Amino acid sequence: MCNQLKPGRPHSIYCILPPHMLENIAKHGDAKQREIAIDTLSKDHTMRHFRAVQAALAPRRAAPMPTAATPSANRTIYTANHTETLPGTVVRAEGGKPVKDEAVDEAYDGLGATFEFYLEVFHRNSIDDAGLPLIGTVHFGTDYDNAFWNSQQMVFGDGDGELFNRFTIALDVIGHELTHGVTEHTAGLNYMTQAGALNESVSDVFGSLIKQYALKQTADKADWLIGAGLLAKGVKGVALRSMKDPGTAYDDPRLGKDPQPDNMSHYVRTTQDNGGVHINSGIPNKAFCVAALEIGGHAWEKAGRIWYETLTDSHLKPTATFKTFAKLTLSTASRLYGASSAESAAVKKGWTEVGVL
Amino acid sequence: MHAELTTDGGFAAIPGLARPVVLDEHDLSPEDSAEFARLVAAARDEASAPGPRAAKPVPDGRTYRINIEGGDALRLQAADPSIPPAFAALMNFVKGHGHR
Repeated sequence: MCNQLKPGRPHSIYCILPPHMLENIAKHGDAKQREIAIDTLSKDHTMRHFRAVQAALAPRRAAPMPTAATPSANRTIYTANHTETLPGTVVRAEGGKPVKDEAVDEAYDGLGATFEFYLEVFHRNSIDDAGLPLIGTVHFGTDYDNAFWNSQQMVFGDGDGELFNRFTIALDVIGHELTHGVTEHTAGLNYMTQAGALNESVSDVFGSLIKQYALKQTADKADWLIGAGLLAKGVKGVALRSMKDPGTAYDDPRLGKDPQPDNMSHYVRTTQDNGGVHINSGIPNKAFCVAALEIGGHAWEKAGRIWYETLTDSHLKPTATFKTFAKLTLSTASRLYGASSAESAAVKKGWTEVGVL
Repeated sequence: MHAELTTDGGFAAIPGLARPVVLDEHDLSPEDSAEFARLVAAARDEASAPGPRAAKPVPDGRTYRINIEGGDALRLQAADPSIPPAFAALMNFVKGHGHR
């Protein structure tokens, strides 16, 4: 498959170049050449080109290559039957038919959508980039108002029905949890203070992008909400977080007010929540949203690529701060699109607007 | 005895859910008060028994703390997904009989 500089104008030179030359261009060409070379490599789904894409995206971490000819999802959904025993009992395995249990089928479909997103957009073969089977457990605990990733699988509660609905109801929540696994296998961001808030933000970014990709939405059409549909009827709010307007997702007598800041001037210092990882993530969330809206189009294509390549960049340390992460996204944008590109300017605008740079 | 249960972490930081649940045994019936004392004793024994150290918090997992005052003070902590059974039983009792 050939890349196109403009619609209807194939870049024939990139169609006939062997992968090693495309890799070389991807590493050493100018910004436009790199973009086209990487894109060309990425659009050929043969394993030869799949490997070439991985090699071209230096300085990404080395990852084991999949052995299967065509990567495909390997999902297993369990039920905990309202206990807290993991993983529980198998209720739907890969290829199995729907079981008429909303939570089971939503988890199955959500894991599939997330797998497809990472494979098709970033050529990542599952969480570990080596085809790791995806495991999810639903009906965890009794009235359990939460979902989490335990380094081996995703776990989803049913909610209590009064404040929260089931946690599988939102695709971005499922994508969020799986992305914790991706982060664990790449940057390994510490789960506390600013590194932890970045860990959370990265999960929100890709959780939202997975939903946008499934809906084929452009950035300006996306709701940029995390957990839309999760709040039960009668709760005053629209979701658990707003990436576009942090601090505005809910304001309810029982839940309180959404505590997320949208700027470093309101950064929350706390010992709760591992140093406010779910609170201060509003700051990098908004930075990404501003950048994506500024770039326009499908957010996963450019803004998402910049964030993904930053996450998988060996220079990103587990102790990263907002500022070091921001600088690395700028460096990535410059490498991919050029230092004076609109994309680099958009990334800079995002971080400047939230007071990080 | 007086118990206070605090919860933090989870998929989202919800201020309303972070408010502690408190329980005073004076508000309990004699039967419930006896059950409360039994659950506290069991959780104390569980916490003092040799075993693996508590695992570090998992992403989006919750951390639970129970403080017991009056009599022998006790401070307990557990986190998703590894909640010891006696801790879980005491936590559920405090949730069921206490108030925010």
